Order: sequence, then C-alpha cells, then structure tokens
Amino acid sequence: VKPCGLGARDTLRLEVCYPLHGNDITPATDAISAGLGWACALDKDFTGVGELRRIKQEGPARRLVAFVLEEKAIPRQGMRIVEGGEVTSGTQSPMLGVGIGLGYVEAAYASPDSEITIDVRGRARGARVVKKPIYKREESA
Amino acid sequence: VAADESYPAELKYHREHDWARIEDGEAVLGITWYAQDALGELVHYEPPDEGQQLALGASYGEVESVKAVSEVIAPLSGEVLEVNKKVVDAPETVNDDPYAEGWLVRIRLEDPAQVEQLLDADAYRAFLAGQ
Repeated sequence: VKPCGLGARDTLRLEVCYPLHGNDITPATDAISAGLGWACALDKDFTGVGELRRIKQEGPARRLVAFVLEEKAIPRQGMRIVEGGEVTSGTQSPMLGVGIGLGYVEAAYASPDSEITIDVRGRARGARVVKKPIYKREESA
Repeated sequence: VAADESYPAELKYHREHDWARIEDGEAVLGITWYAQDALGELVHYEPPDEGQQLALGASYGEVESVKAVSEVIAPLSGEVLEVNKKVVDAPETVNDDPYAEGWLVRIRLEDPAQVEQLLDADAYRAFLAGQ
C-alpha cells in the first residue's frame, strides 16, 4: 500500500472521464449536457424533470466532452475554448504523456475528432475531441 | 531520480529561486533545487523564443507539474541565445539535475553589472532559512 493524494486521484478519474462535482458538473450545468442522461429516469417525476426532458428533446446547446491536446500544453480548469466553451478539468495524463481534459463545447464541436483550440494563458493550443474514456487499460489476456 | 539538495558555490542566485552561471558576457539560467522540490516532478516547460529579450525580475517562461504552474523569473536581463531542448522534451531533467542538464536558457547579458545584485550560495541559503 502506498500513499495516494488528490493529485493522483484526479489524473486517474480524468483519464477515465469521471466528472467531478464542482468542476464538470455544478448547479449551473444539467445532466443531459453532461452526458449523464443514462442516470436519469425521465419517465418518472422528480424536481427538474421538465427541464431535462426539454433539453433532451431539443438537444443540448453545449456538451461535456473529453479532449486530448495535440500540442505540448496542459489544459486547466477555467481556460477558454476558442470555438465556444470552457475547460472544466485538465491535467497531464501520466499514462499518455499529453495534456487531457473535460470541457463544455458547442454541440457542433462535440463529436469525436472535432478540432478545438484551448486558450492556454494567451497561447492557442490545438486539441482533439475524443470518445470517453480517454484512457482505458488493456485487459490482460 | 531526484537530485539531493545543493546550491553550488560557483553560481549566482535570485530570490525567485533562479540560478545563473556567468560565462564571458553570457549566462546560463535555471531554477534552484528548492524550486524544483517545491513544484514536484515537472511535466511541461514553456520556453521563451530564441532572440526574445528577458527583463530582470520579469517572467520569461513557465514550468508545470501535474498540480501547479509556475512562472520562471529572469534573474538578469538579456537576449535568449539558446533554449534547452532537452528540458522541452523531458522536463523531469530539471528534477534530476537542476544545475547542469536541467538548465533552461542561455542569454547574452544586457548589463553585466546586474550580476552584482545577485546572491551568492551562502546568501541564498540564508534567504531560504528565513522563508
């Protein structure tokens, strides 16, 4: 057993794209845009169900996506996504050796392989939207 | 393998935890053992451009660990002659060897008299002890 801190846990959860409350999901975001519709029984009644049904039917304006930097840089929470949107979590992936993150982008940029640009303290750095999870350990035979 | 704490006597130091090796009107710059230890393993170095002018006391680049980003402060003014590409490709070189392989830039000094304002190793150690 070795000590493991929040930094280590944060890289692990980001590589597998588990959203963190306070970063990726907040009182200002909704479950459909965050990709958590699978956890919502929209056929049942609960607080906010009407709004979730509406967003699901109309399609969310922004979606929470996973992305991988194509240039050397580390995305961080709060950085602007130039095409519209914001980084909600970011780090350097120890397994991949590149910057990775989660963020909200306009629906037009939400599909895998969309090219997006992160504003890294004034420098534009290219990134590519990828399918979640960003990293999955190969099953051993 | 992280280096052991040391502050070589032949270097000059700045309170923002930079060192400078003065050589013939030029200087090689880097961050001190204390700075790399405080940051932890470096995973990114954002260098200045070659030809860029550094100003004493101003930021000229960034070093990042998984958890934190830190600006690198210029201990002297001058023009960037060379960036250490080895550190761009393998930032952890700074942790392994902060004063030799892990240098960050080489500059042409704009005002060699600025060197006199820097600390020697004993004065820098005394400064660290008072932190």
